[in-house]
Amino acid sequence: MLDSVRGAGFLSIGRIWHGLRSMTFAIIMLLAILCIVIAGSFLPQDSGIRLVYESWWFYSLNGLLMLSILSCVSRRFRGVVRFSFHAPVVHRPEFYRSGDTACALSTQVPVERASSAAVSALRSCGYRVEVMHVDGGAYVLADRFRVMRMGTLVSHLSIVLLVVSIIWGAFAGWLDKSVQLEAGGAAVPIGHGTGLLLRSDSFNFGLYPDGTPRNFQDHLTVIENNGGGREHHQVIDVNEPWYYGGVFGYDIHQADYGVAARLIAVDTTQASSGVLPYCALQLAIQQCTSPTADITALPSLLLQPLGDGSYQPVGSDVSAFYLPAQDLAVTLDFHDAVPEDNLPATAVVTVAKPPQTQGQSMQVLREALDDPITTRVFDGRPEMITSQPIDIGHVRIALLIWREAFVNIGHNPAVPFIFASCGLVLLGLVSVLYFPFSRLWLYISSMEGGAGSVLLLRGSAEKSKQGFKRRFAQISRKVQQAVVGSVWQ
Amino acid sequence: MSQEQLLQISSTSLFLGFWVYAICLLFYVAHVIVPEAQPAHLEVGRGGTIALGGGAPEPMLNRTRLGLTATGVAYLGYVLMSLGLGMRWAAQGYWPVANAFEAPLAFSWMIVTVYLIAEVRMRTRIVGWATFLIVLGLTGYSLFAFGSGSQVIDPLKPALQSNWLRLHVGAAMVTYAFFALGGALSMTYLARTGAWRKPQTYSLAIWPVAIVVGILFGIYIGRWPGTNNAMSLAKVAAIVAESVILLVLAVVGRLVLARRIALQAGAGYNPIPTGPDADLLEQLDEWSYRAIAIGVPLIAFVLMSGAIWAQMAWSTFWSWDPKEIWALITFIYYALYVHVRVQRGWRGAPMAALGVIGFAIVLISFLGLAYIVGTFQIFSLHTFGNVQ
Repeated sequence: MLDSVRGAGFLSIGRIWHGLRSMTFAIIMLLAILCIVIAGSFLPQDSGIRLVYESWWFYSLNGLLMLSILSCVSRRFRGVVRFSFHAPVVHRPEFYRSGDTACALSTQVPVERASSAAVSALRSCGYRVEVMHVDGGAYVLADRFRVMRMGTLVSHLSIVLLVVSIIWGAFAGWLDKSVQLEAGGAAVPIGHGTGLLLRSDSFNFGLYPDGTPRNFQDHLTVIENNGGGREHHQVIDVNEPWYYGGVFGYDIHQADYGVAARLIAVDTTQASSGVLPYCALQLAIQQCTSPTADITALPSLLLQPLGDGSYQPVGSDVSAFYLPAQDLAVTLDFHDAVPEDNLPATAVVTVAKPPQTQGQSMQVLREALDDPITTRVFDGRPEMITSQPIDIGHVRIALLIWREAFVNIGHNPAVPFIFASCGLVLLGLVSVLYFPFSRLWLYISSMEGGAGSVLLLRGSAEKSKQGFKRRFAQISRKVQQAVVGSVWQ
Repeated sequence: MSQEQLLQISSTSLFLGFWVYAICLLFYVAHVIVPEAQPAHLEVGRGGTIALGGGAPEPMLNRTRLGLTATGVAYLGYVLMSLGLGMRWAAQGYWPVANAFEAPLAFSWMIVTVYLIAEVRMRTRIVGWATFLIVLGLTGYSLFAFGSGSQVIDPLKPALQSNWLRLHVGAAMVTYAFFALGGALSMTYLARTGAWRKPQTYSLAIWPVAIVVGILFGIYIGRWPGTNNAMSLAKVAAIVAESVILLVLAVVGRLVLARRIALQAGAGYNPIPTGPDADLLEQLDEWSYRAIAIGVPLIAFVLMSGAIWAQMAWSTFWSWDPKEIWALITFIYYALYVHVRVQRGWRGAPMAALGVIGFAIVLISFLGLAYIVGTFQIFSLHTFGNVQ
């Protein structure tokens, strides 16, 4: 093999393959990846991912490492399998004398009795023993945890399987982050050709006294066949996702939450609290020919719960609508708090009559400054909280506060394989590092010109050599005692 | 007992435990420094007279007594720390591993647990000074940097309300404790051989550091023309420059490393220590490897359990979060450690240096990350909340 490699050209396949199979190459690859991963960790996360972890050269290095692992495994496969299942029992006598851990013992006991005593001693030390009698001599092979040697192959191949699964998942899977669901609102399509709709029926959250969230309860419904099929219900929380369709189906995870404020207008003379038909204000008022009463389509703003029942507007923004029947324009203007200037958060509601003729300015009918935003039950619905409503005739302008659940929806068929690969990596590492395999060879032959026998014992362990030396000394003493003691049996 | 009372007992026990550990460290240091008492022996004098001689009168604080005292004080400190953490657990209702005050204390508690078991099995106390140096550093960092946290209970975030907290963080504590023990054994090895004073012991670390700096340099050159995806001549030039730098570094690193490996593993290198301490040094080398070998499957489990938990809580098993990256770095590093030990047959001072560097990586992963994240303005889901 070496000759053929030497004879080949600089970039021949044989030479490259030979280089890939070397442990030095694998160590250099590991070291290079280690250095790059460290370097990337010092960059801001998005830059680190984009410039390092998702760069072509990082993928190339990982690819080379996988090739290196595969080539190393292919080189060792036969040897490891042979070591584990087909280790030769008989060797030449010189073999038993070589090595760091070897000893010799001569005894007056004949070969047969010495071998049975030695085998018993080795078995009592926890070794599996094979014996062969050849030409009047006894050859003994004893080993512990021989199958655990396979752990090397299992752990390395599992790393390759893990990487392959991750790549497959990257192509076959998808993840939609922070899909917004309004509690009690309309169902939203999951998309990706699933034909599924997702709806949040109700969303509750508990807060600690300092205002930080304690837990969530998001009551979800999945509707099949684009809203025309069966409904499935599930309550999810942060660590309790919904595996819709099992592990190969779709995962729905509670990701975040929010509170959205909406300005509504209702007719106080009506028994029901339906929203008056409106148009979004960005439309020209003249074009407001088909006003809607859909409450969920009203412009909304996010609020941050403070934990004491009050809410803090997030950012500064304006939402507004026009009521064509009443010819009123309503605006809601949030201003975030400015702690440096001791300015509190404010919510300004303005009700105005739009200009009737060209050149006329807008006539402000009422302006309300809410500070802080108050909380109260609106129209007997406990999940709605309003500010002080503004009444203009029979029209009541109020602030509704809605709960929003943000969920992550994903599908990754590779995840079970990824975790199975991780489990196999772990299994391989445990078997190799927690069950150190060791092997003993014993050759018992007749003493030349006498009735006794000579025992040659040799041991080998790949890991924990010093510990094995001590163990070998104990075993050899035990074998000696067993063989000598067998005289008296 | 009220929550305030439990916290008060916890705080007092923890601070008391710290000072007991400090005394314990002094005893362990004395145990190492004080020379072994010469045993008395028989002297044959002129005229055949036999006398007992050679042995100096046994001092009150001989090495054995100092060692026994150190262990006794260590157990006392351990009991106090256990009481402190136990009371905190009782007060808040969950394992005290969730913030910057609790995590180092829990980590140091686990190190002492592992060490006290190992001390019995190793039948020597010479590693105690290094172990308690680490333990004292961790407990001191927690108690004096976040001391006020001892009276405060942080509400447990929704993502942490899971059995995976116990499994994942518990496994991480045990893993890092074994790596810490490996680091302490390596420190002891370097101290006893004097190798810590020799620059060649650390020369191996120069190349990885050079490569990291080179890559960072390359990345910053790459960023210079702009971070948008549009290709430009400057961007292409930057990528080429980056690739050349990487290639040169890889070639240089490969040549130097290969030479170094050849030197270390070649005929001129004797991995078996010599001298009167040879047996002890060989045992230190072996124990260090064993402690780290126990930790390697455990760090794999930590990564795996973290990935499963992240998949459940955050809908993705891997998000290149700094904590995840540094756990991966720890795994890759120790995988390298095991490979050069088992496949390349490295022994002695280079392995001890690798053991110490490994523990430094563990410390960065466990504690230093909060500072890296803060300094480099990196977002992380894992940084422990700083207690007020």
